[in-house]
Amino acid sequence: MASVEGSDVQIQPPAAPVLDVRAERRRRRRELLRALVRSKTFVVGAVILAFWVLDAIFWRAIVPHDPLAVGPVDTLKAPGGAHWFGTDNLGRDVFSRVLAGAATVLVIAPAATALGLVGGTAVGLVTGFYRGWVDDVVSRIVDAFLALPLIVIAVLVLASLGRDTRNIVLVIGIIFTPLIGRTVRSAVLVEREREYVAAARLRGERGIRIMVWEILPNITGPIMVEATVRLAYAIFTAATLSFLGLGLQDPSPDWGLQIANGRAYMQVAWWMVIFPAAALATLVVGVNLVADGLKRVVEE
Amino acid sequence: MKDLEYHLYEEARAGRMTRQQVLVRGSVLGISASVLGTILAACGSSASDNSTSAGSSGGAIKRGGTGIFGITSPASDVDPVTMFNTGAIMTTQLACDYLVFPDAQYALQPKLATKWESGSTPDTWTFTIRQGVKWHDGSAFTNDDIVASFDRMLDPKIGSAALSAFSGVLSRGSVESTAPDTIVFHLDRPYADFPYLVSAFNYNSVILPKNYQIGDFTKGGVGTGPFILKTFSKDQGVTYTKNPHYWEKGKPYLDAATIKYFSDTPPIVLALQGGAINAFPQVPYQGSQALFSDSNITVTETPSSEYRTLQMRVDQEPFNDKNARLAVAYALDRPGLVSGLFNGKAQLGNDHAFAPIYPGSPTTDQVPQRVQDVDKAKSLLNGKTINVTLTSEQFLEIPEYAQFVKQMCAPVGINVKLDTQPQSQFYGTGANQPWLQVPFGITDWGARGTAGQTIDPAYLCRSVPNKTLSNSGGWNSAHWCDPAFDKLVEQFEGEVDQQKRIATAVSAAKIQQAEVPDVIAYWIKELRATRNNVHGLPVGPTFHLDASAMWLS
Repeated sequence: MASVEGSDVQIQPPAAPVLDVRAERRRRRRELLRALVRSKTFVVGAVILAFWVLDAIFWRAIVPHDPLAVGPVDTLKAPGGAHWFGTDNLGRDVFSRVLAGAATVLVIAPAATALGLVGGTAVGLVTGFYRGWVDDVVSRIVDAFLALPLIVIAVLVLASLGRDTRNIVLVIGIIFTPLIGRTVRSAVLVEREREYVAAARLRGERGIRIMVWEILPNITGPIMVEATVRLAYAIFTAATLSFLGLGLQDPSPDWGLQIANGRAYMQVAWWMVIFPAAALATLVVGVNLVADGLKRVVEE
Repeated sequence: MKDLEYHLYEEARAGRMTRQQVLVRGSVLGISASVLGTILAACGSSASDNSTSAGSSGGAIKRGGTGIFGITSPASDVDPVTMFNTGAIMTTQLACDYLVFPDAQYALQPKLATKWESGSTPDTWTFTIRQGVKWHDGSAFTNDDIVASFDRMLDPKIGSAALSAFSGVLSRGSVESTAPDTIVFHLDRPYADFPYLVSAFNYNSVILPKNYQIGDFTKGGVGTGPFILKTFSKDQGVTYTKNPHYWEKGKPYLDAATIKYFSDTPPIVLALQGGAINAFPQVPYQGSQALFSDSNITVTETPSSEYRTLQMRVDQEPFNDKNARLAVAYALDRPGLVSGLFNGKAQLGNDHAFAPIYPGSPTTDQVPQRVQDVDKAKSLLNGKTINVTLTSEQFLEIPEYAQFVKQMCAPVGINVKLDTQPQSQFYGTGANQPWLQVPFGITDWGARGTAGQTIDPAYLCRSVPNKTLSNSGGWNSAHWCDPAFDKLVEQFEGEVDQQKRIATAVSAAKIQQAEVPDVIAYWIKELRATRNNVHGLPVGPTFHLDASAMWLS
C-alpha cells in the first residue's frame, strides 16, 4: 500500500509537461498532414495506392469474369471486346486476373512489412538505446545476416518449410527485421543523447519505458518512411518468390505467378505478361512515390 | 507365301486393312519386301512411299556440317542400360543401334538385324544379324555382344528399365546364338509383337559391347551407331563425330552432331528461332506456339500412342463406385481438351488403351466414342456430391489438364481439389510413390509400339502395385484387376492372325471402357521442329532420334 502513496507523489509533478508534449505532437502531426497534401509526389502515389487497395478489397464486385474459370476453347485470345486484356493459356480472363491479383500481394506485403517493422523497431531500439555489448553482439549478428543474399535465404527457407502464405509473410518479415533494425538504431542513437531522455533517466524511468514512451514517439517519422520503402520492396520480393515458383501456386491470380506462367508464351501472347507486370509496376511505383513524398516532408 | 503372310494378304484384299496398316504389321512379322509388295498390290496401290522426313526433300543430298539438337537436360544418369528419361534416350540413340528401329508410322525397319520371323507360334523369334558391323573402336561386332546385351538388361541386379518391359515375355538366358548370323529368342509365352521389344520402343534394348560396364557410355566411343560420342557434359551437352565405318554405306551425311541441353522449353524455342540449334526433336505444344508461325521453321506432327491416364483407384473411396468413375468420364469435354491443350494436335481418347495408331485398334464403329454427357453423369451420381483431390505433376500440359478436369467435373457434382506436385515428388521412390497411391491422379505415359506394351504394366492384375510398391512393372495405378480382361490381352498378344487380333482387341477395349479404371481423353500428336535447311530427319516415332540420313542444305 505504501507504494501506491509513493507513486501518487511521484506522478503528480511531471503531469503538466507530458500534456504539453502530447499537444505538441498533435500539432506536428497536423502540420505533417498539411505538408503531405501539398506534396504532388505523395498525392499521386497515394491515389495509385488507394486504387489498388480498393481493388484488392472489392475486386469480386468489379471483375467481369471469374478469374479462376478456365475455358478450353478460349485459350490465348488476344485483347478485345470480350476479354479486355485477352485470355491466358487456360482461357482465363487476364483482366479479371490482374484485378484479383492485387488481393494476394496486398495481404502478403503489408503483413510482412508490419512483421519486419515490429521486429526491426525492437532490435533498433534495444541496440541503439543500450549500446555496449548488447549492441555489439546484435549488430554483428545483423551484419552476418545481411552478408547473405536475401533472396537465397528466402528460397532456402520456403523450400524447406513449405510454400503457404503464412510462411511467405514470415520469411519476408524476418528478412526485413535487420534492415529496418539498422535504420531505427541510427535514429535512436541521435535521440538518446537528447535532454528529454536524460530527464527521463533522472526521473528514474526504466529503460523499456524510456524506449517505448519517450524515444519511439519521436522517431515515428523515419520509421514511417522506412515502412513505406520496405512495403515497396516487400511487394517486389513477394512477386519475385512467386515468379520463382516459391510463392503462391496456380490457379492463384498472383501477379508474379502470372508473369512466370506467361513467360513461355511471350511471343504468341504478350498480354499474359505485360498486364500483370504493368500492374505490379504501378503498385510499386505508387508506394515508392508515397515513400518519397513522406521522406521529403519528414526531413523538412 | 506362309500362313501369316496369307492372312495379311486376305485382310488387305478384303479391304479390312489400309496400306499403312499392312506395312506396319508386315514389318513387325518380318515379312520380306517382295512378299509385302505382293500384299500391298492387293490393297490397290503400288510403290511403297515412306517419305516421313521433316522438312522438304530439298534436292540432292549435301554432305558435311554439324547437326545441332536442342533437348531438355536428362534429369537422371545417361546410360543406355538404366536410362528412362527422354533426354538420355535421345543422347544414346545418336551413338547406338537397336536390332530394329520403328519409323514414324510404327513400321519396323532393319538396323543390326536384317530379317526376323517368328516360329509357327510366336513364342520363338529368329533374327538374322547384319554382318561386317564394327564397334566405334574398330573391333568386330558379334552375336556374343547381342546375347550379353540382353542378359544384362534381364539381370534383376542391374536394374535396367527394360526389365519390366520384358516381364513375362523374355527371361534371362533365353537368347541364343544359333549361327554366326542368327539369334533366336525363346519367349516365355507367345508374343506376336515381340520385335517392338527389341526396337527403340523398348528404348533400353540398344546393343552394347559384351564387356560393357554401367557408366561407360558417357566416357565416349561406345556403340555401333552413326555418330561417335566425343565429349559429354551433364549440364551443357554432348558432341559427336561421324562414325567412319558405319555399316550403312555412305551414311551418316553429317560430319558431326551436337546435342545441347536446356533446362526448359522457352530457351530451346528461342535457340531454334535464332539458329543456334537446327532441330528440336521433342516439342511440347504448350510453350512452343511461336514455332508454328516462324517461316524459317518446319514443325511436323504425327499421331502417336503417347497419352495421359486420369486414373481412379477402384479399391478406394470415392472411385470404388464404378458409377463415380463413369461420371468423371462423361463429365469431360474431350474435343474441348484437345482444343484447349493442344490446339487440335491430338486424337480423341476413348478410355481404352488401344491407340488409334496401332493397326487393328478398335475403331469408334466397333467401340463407340465416349462423349460428354453432363446429365448422364449427374444421374450416375444420383444426386451425390463427391469431394476428391486430384494429384498430378508439374510436367508438360498436365497442370493445365488438371485445371480443365476440375472445371468440367464441377457441374456434375464432383468437387475437385488440385494438388500439383513437382515431377520428382509425384513419382517418388520406395514406398512413397504418389502416382501409384493417390485415389485420383494424372500420369504421363510415353508412346509404345503396341498396345500390349502399355497394357501389361498398366492394366493387368499382376501389375497392381503391392503394399511396398516393389513389384517390377507394377504400374497399374488404378489398382484395377479384371481376369477376363487379362485373358483377352494375353490372347491378343499371342495372336498373329489380324482378324482374330482385332476381335480380341474389341472385346478387351469394351471391358476397359465400361470399367473405366482411368479416363484416356486424348492421344497426343508428336511434334518435331527443324529449321528449314534440315532434311532427312525422320518425323518420329515420337521423340526417337535416327539422324543417320540427316543433312543440311
